Amino acid sequence: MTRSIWWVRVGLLALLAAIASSPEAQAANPGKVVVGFNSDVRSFDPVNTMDVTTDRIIGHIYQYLFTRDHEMKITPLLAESARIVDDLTWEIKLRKGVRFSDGEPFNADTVKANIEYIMKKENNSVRRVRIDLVKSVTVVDEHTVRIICEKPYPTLLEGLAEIFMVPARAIKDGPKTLTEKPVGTGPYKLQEWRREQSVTLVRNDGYWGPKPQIPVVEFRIIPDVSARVSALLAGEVHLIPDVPPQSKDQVNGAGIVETRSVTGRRVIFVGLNTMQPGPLQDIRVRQAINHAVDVDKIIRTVMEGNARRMVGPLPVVNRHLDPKLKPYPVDVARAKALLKEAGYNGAPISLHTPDGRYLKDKEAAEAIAEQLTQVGLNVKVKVGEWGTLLDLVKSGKIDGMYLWGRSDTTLDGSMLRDWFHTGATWVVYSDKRIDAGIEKALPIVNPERRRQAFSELQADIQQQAPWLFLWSQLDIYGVSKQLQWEPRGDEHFYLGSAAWR
Amino acid sequence: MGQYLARRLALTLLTIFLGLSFMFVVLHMAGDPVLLLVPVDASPDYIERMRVEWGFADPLWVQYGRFIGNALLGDFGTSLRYNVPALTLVLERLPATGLLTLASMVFAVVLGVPLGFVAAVRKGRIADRLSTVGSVLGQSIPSFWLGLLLILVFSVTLGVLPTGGMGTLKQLIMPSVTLGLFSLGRVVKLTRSGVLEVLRADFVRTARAKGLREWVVLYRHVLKNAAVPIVTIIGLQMGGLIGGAIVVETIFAWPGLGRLIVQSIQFRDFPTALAAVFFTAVLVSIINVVVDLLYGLLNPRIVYE
Repeated sequence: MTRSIWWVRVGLLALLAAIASSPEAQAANPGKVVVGFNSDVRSFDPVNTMDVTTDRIIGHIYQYLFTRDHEMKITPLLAESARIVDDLTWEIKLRKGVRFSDGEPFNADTVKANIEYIMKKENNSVRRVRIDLVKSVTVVDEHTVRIICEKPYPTLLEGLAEIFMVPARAIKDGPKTLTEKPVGTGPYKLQEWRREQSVTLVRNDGYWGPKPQIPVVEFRIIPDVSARVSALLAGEVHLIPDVPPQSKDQVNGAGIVETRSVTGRRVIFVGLNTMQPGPLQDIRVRQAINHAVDVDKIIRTVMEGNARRMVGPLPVVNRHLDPKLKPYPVDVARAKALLKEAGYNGAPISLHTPDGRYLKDKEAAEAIAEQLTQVGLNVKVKVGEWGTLLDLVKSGKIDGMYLWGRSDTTLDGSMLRDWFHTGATWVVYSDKRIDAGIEKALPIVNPERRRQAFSELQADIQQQAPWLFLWSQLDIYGVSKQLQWEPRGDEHFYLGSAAWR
Repeated sequence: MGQYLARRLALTLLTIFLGLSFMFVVLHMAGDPVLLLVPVDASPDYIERMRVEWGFADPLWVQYGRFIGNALLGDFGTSLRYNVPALTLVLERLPATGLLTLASMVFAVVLGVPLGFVAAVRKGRIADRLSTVGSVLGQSIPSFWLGLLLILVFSVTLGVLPTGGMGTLKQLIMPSVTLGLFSLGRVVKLTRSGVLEVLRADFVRTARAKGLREWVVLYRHVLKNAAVPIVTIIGLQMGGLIGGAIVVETIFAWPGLGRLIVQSIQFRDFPTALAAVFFTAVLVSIINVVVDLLYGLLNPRIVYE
């Protein structure tokens, strides 16, 4: 009996000693920044992968020819300048003296190899959609290329600001060789990847640009949002995206961390399917819906202020948003009159919504349905699983309305094509006049005329009301007070210029 | 014995095959995987070409035949999300799942058997009441709540344990306690009722009548005879824990199989989901066979024919 107790004691002591002495990561690297993300890099091959989280991480390793500054203006990165030669031709000067982390030089051949690989249809590159009007690339000299387009392509530089440059050798061997071993020109290199656990980047000493102050960046994967906030509060991570609005006070009250917000490029709206027979095919019903919903009130209450209202079809971050556009005024009487005029007979209309895909999506849908019911519309909220919803919208089979989000990828008026042109993916609306207007505006290169064309279009689309226009989401980040870093409006995420105070 | 094993094996294989086929059909009924895998602004043309490249353009029975054929050769295909063999992803996760399962089982057994034993021996007394209340609580506290509470107390407020991740012993404590607490309740209850039953048996009275010391009676005669149901419940619980630790793995950022399964279903990464289900089924089957064989060792009266 005594002996067995003795053994238990020894065992317990050993266990406690092991716990006390287990290695702690934090002490090892004082300047390190730890970022808490909800998901991992899908692959370090940027030619065949494109998603927000992946790009945020690999954007420290690979670089674009052009990028956006904090004011969202296009600026050269691996390029030095761009010049329009004629309607179809752009000439791009490249930065000199840039090398990939394996020593390969970055030059005109690199650019040609990268763009031509992506453009080849049979390579199935997911980034092709970003530069789909490019026809060919010619090398002028070691640091100059010309890009020839099929049609006038005013958003070429915006597109190139989403194309990472990889070494020409990797293109030759197949970009999949980069899946686990990235080779880029950027300020950081991959040190360790523990799938679904963490990605650790170290400073690339051969980097051509200003040396980053943060020597090591670790992206830690913490899938649960409450656990992510807890990790921030416990000081284990210094930076997390997507702080839930209800946790804002908790984060700001903790002392060592704070929230920093920026208007993001994701727009939230309710799509009104006009491709299926039903009341939504009547423009008066669609306008009535826009008059009936008090968007500002929902932003104040349901969204707790964490959104900015869309006045028309383009979000506030878009450079072509027409500042003269006024939102639909809230007007219950007008909505009722429009419905009566349209002969709406109380036919049921579904409002589909995902649950948890967007900030407060289900709650917002319920509030909208409530307000629509007040003007006499017979609205039923249907919560759907995300994959199923994608299917329904893609096939156009979704009945009625659906709360949805789209990302403003170019911050240019050309988004109107992605969002409202007949036959574009996820578009369940068709109007020949709008289509013609979009096609006319898209190729205009002259900035003033382009702005003018898109302004007219916005007014037109707003009046046609293919959506119930809602808001741009605010991106809320939780950040250690000691860290100098500002969030960007384009969801890009860069620590190369961050610093500890 | 040999015949019994062969029959068990055949049945196990059939179960796994049926499970996989069922999973295959259900996954394919759940919606178009291509839409979830491509970026939201992909062109219709690109979506079509990826559908062909990934083989989703073929009729379902062709896809099924191809899947079973390859799976028989040990090839579960390439993960659509991560672009690496699905098998690699699953094998990467097995050690993490194994570690968490074992640790939480050890926690449940080391604490649960003595508690249940004491409760039985002191039936109706305060120790019994306490352990019964405790085990009911353990079973009814939802793990997401307990997990977050532990994080708030031990990581945020006290700062003594890391919020999540895997690698150090400290990181193992909260997930295994959260996961083990549910099993703990069952182990306590089963041990208690098993021991109570044995305590009433004739051979215990005989042992006492022989004048053996009480702890010898309890250890040699009672505990050993009460072991069969305890082993059963441990086996069952382990089977459940392997695939069922989803919530705990998510909260504590534990890179295990459960999270892989949920994620791959969410993203319609069919090859990974199927490979993960296959391995879970195999592991659970192995545990069940081992438990059956252990009965024979623990209780010589059980003979397989």
